[in-house]
Amino acid sequence: MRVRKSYQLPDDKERLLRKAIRLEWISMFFTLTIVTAMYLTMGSSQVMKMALLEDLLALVPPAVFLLAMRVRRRAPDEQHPYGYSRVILLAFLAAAVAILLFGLFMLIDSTSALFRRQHPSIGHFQLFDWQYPVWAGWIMILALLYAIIPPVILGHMKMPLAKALHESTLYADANMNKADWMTSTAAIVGVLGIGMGLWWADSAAAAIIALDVLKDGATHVRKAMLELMDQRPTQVTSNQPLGLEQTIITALLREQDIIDVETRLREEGHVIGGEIFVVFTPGQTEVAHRTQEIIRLATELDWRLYDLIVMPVEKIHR
Amino acid sequence: MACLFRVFTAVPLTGLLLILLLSGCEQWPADPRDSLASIHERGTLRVGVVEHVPWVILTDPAAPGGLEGQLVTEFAEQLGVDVDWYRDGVEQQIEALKNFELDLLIGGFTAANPWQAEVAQTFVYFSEPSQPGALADHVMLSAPGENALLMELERFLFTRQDPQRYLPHLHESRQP
Repeated sequence: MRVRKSYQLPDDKERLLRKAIRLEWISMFFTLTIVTAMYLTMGSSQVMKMALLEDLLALVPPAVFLLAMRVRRRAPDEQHPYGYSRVILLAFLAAAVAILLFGLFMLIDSTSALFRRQHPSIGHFQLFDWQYPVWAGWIMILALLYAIIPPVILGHMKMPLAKALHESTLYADANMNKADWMTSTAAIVGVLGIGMGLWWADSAAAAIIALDVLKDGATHVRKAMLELMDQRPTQVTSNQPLGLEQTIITALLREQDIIDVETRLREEGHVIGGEIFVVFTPGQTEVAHRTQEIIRLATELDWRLYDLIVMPVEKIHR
Repeated sequence: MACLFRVFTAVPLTGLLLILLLSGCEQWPADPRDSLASIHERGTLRVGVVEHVPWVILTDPAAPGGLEGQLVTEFAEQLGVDVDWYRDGVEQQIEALKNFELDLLIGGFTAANPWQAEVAQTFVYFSEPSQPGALADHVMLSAPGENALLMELERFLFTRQDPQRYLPHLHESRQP
């Protein structure tokens, strides 16, 4: 069997990818510190519990990304002749489903606390066996303020990398990070609400956080499914077509011996593969040679294009 | 879709913030059911008692004794109010506390009590040596979510954390 040649990222992209991997490790580290801070201050507040779970879920996309990166580097083999580039989408789908289900659980948990009219009790702050003469709510707010800062900065740093590397998993992660301040703010409002004697503020703010997680999960599941179903190449940031089809057609029509061109491309994770149909001028005798030249020409048009197939045909049926 | 969601979260959030700003606050944290203010108004602290020697001793029905009975009496003195004692079974007392019919509940409860999700409990004011785990950590229960009352009680307990207050009595009661 003839397996695909392994795909090599261009050097500049490879450097960006290393940077992205480093950022994801840093992300995981900060998320762990945030989760620890939350856990130590949580008490019996519903909103703190949800904020903690939300931050715990923020571990999933970086973990999935880093894991998939290891598998993705494998060269295509007999068992997987098309290579492993799609592993990241599969991992992303699994993570997205987990986030979606978790969001559902969180929503049920916090709304049921609301309906049971559960009054959150927050007294003095205690850490393990020591008590401090300060209201625990203030310490929770400090922890939540800390939880706002690192994700927003990291999110802004990951966003351009995701675009440059055509990594939708990284993009989803950056997006979640960037939106993280909203949930932490909701939690702060919830804790302040408890301080003012509004028992429902806690569960209401918790429900808002759950809704946000649910929304994240739904968006990611949709995106992952569409991409696994051989979607045409689209931008990472939106669902707008990349326009690579037209780029290839325009470039190839400039060739003297080509009358008509049509393409059919699909996303396979971070790379893009597919077919190009070509109609040569009558009398073209060196078809095999030209076909190989055209493959080289087309593949050089964009760094994501990989293992394109050129099919000489008599006429293109549109 | 994303835009719609922003609106959906932004509206309740600003609403919440507005309510927070508009409702003034003399007490921080405040009681949702104004327990502490009602105690001062009524002039009485409503305390449920469950017998548990040596923490709560009910030989004199008018004035329950024991270590926690003593603590609550001192707390009430500090607040300048009297104590109304209520005797009942532990489940009935928990139910009454959840329904805000009691302010406090004592009975030698520990941090291992099964009602901590439903009612409020103070921090551990005394850890019994020679008892395993959370069963050794003594707490008092108060009405759920009444954080001003809880803070007031805990402020009082900060001054009553010396183990020597409790240890001699414990040894006494453990003697056969």
